[in-house]
Amino acid sequence: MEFLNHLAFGFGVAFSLQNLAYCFAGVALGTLIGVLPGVGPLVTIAMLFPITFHLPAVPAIIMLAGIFYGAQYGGSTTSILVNLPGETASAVTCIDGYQMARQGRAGPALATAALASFFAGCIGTLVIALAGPTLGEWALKFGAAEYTSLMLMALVASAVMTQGDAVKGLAMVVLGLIIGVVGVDVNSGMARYAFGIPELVDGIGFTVVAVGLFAVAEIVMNLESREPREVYTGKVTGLMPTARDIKDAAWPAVRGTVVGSCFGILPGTGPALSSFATYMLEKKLARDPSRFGRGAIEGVAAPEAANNAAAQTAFIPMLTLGIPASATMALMLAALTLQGIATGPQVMLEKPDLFWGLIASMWIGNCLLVVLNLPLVGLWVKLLTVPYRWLFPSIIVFCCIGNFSVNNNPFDVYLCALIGVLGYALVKLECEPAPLLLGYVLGPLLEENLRRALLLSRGDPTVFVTRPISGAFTIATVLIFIIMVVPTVRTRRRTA
Amino acid sequence: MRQPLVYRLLALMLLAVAASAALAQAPYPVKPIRFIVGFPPGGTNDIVARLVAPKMSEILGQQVVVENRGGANTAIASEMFVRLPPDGYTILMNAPGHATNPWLIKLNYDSIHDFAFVTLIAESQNLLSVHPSFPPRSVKELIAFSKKHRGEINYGSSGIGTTVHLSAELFQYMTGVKWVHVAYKGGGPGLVALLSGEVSLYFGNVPTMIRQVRAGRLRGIAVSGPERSAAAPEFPTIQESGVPGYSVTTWYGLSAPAKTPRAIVDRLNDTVVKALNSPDVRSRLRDLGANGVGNTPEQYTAFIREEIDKWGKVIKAAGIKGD
Repeated sequence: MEFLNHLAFGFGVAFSLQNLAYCFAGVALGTLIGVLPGVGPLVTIAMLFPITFHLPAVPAIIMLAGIFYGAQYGGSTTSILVNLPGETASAVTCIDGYQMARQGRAGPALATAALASFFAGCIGTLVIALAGPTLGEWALKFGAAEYTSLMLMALVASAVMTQGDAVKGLAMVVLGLIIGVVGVDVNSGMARYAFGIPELVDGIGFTVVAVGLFAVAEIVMNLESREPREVYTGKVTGLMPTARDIKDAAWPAVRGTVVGSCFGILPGTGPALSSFATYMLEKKLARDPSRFGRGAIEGVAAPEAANNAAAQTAFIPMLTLGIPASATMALMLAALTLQGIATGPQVMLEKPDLFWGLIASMWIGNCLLVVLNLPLVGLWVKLLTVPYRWLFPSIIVFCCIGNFSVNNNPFDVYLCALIGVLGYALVKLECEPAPLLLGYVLGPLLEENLRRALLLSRGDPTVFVTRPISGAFTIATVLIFIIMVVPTVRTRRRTA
Repeated sequence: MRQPLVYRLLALMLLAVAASAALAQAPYPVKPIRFIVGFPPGGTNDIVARLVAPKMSEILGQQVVVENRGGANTAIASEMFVRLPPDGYTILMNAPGHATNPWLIKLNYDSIHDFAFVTLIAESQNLLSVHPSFPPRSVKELIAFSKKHRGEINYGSSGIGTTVHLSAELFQYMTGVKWVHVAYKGGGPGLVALLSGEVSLYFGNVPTMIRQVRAGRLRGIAVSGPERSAAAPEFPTIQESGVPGYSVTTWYGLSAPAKTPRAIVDRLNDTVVKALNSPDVRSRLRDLGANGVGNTPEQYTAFIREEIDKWGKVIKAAGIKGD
């Protein structure tokens, strides 16, 4: 009952006219920047930062939070429409979302993404409200050994991601890994593969890689074909998902929410990893895995649910322990600090209006987002009717702005163009970019944690088995491996 | 050289005209000033810049616009910066990375002579904190315990070359103890590692640490600066606890490109000092755990030289390598 009282109190705070207005401003801005590639919540929040000095703490944090989770909604839009991930986490949505758009199903894809996001956002918020403190403690149980085993499990499972040629898939993962380790090595401080270029010392940014591989390569491919490509709306089959679509998408959205809620709690890995993980899970569970990559609605619903749930639960370490899970969170913490609010383990008790008000505002924000995004579906789909000679240059311009704005450095724009060339070559070679992105994200994390775990154990590799959580992941990895290998062996015997 | 008097007079007149034209020009600044921060948005450097910039705009009557150019611990911003015209319309935020980079990476600029140092804006310090399960309760106990358990204690950091890392290296260098360094990617993961006990020691910035200490999740030992911290006065300095001469601060300074006219440097210095005198800026800086400084260009230049020398010694002694 106490919980309901808290919530009622929270809604009382969030439903004030001022807080509602800031919540709306936050989610609307979040949607907008989510749509623009590269212009992420971090840059936006940094720019708005001085404004928050003049606001009371509660509306300030409600607005900043709205930008953060609102961006997850907007990020799926360009993924689906033009194969351009607006946000790190929506790269996975590109795989099937864009295929759906090509089949004239952009409307249902966008609507499914919005609805799955809404569902996941609500559940994610409920998770914070109900179990925030407990889960915060759980995050502390994840050390270097646990992360290593988790990454290893994810990498083994990623073999599922690859379509067709397994060797090519593996090659892509490794290529991604190589791109991922460019820059200063966390453990030793040595720069690797930087070739004396200072811009490479900090590594190659995700936006640069994702935009280059997906958007630039895709546009070059489209330019290549001579015939005026049919605009995909030519065969639009309705804007809203059919009953069948909803039935297909429901369970994946639920599973995505669960996966996303879990990953969101782990500081640092967050939404991106969760959308990869849930996509793999769906593909493994599907009756007909070959549909994935060809416009399966599950491939949109699950990752979108996952990254939204993760965007909500990512607030748990911050709200319950005062740990910023990402640079964006750190900036929000700083905003609170400058308001004289010490966000630490006691914020729930010391500032109940902030804690419960924020949680209630997340629900309201998610409702606003779905109200904002569903009517926009029609508008977005219309955008596809814009002739390519207008659409393509605009996309490229936005990509350049996005890449430039991260560090205000033109080098990133050139690098993105270069990666676009690589992306084009990969398309020609019929290699999938998604496993590359996975290797790029997971590889460096795996390496960093593996070396750290061994440093902490003074070189004893048994830690991966003897620590309980890590041991569980290791066993799971072995099981996944067996499940994957056994059928192949069997079929081979049969054919032999 | 024998020139007709007429020519000399003419030259003199021309000079006078040029001088009066310069004088007649509107006083600096006539257009917005770019304030370059060598980190992506979100870090303390960025926040300090965004705190001071509005006040500076107010005083100068021109917008001071913060621009982030992150990378290589300020080296990328510095490299671009030193090539800009020394007209006072671009200014740079310096950070401790300015003093450690010369020892860690190959730079295409001179960390002293390519800059006109304006003023030290603020300084903050680190609180040496330990996991509650870690026995030592004071610096003396820590040294004794570390000597007994040589090479067994892990300390965390937010990355190689950060003040979190170097605070610990300086401590080892000055006391002769030996810990194992475990680097994390940023302050967030580093803090998690300390809270979970994966590492035992961490030199984190005072405001972050003090919250955890007051909540009983960590134990504070001592602060790294030359004086006690106003935000956590109950903790002694490491210096007064038996390591004389030990001092590490995280600092935020302002510089212009070398050859910027002295008048402009003074104007900027004056502006920052005035901005720091405003109670609003002062109290917000204090919330961040930083103390406003605002010293003279000469003092700040001397400070930079000292920092570069100090970290050179520590980095060489610790065998830290960069590029």
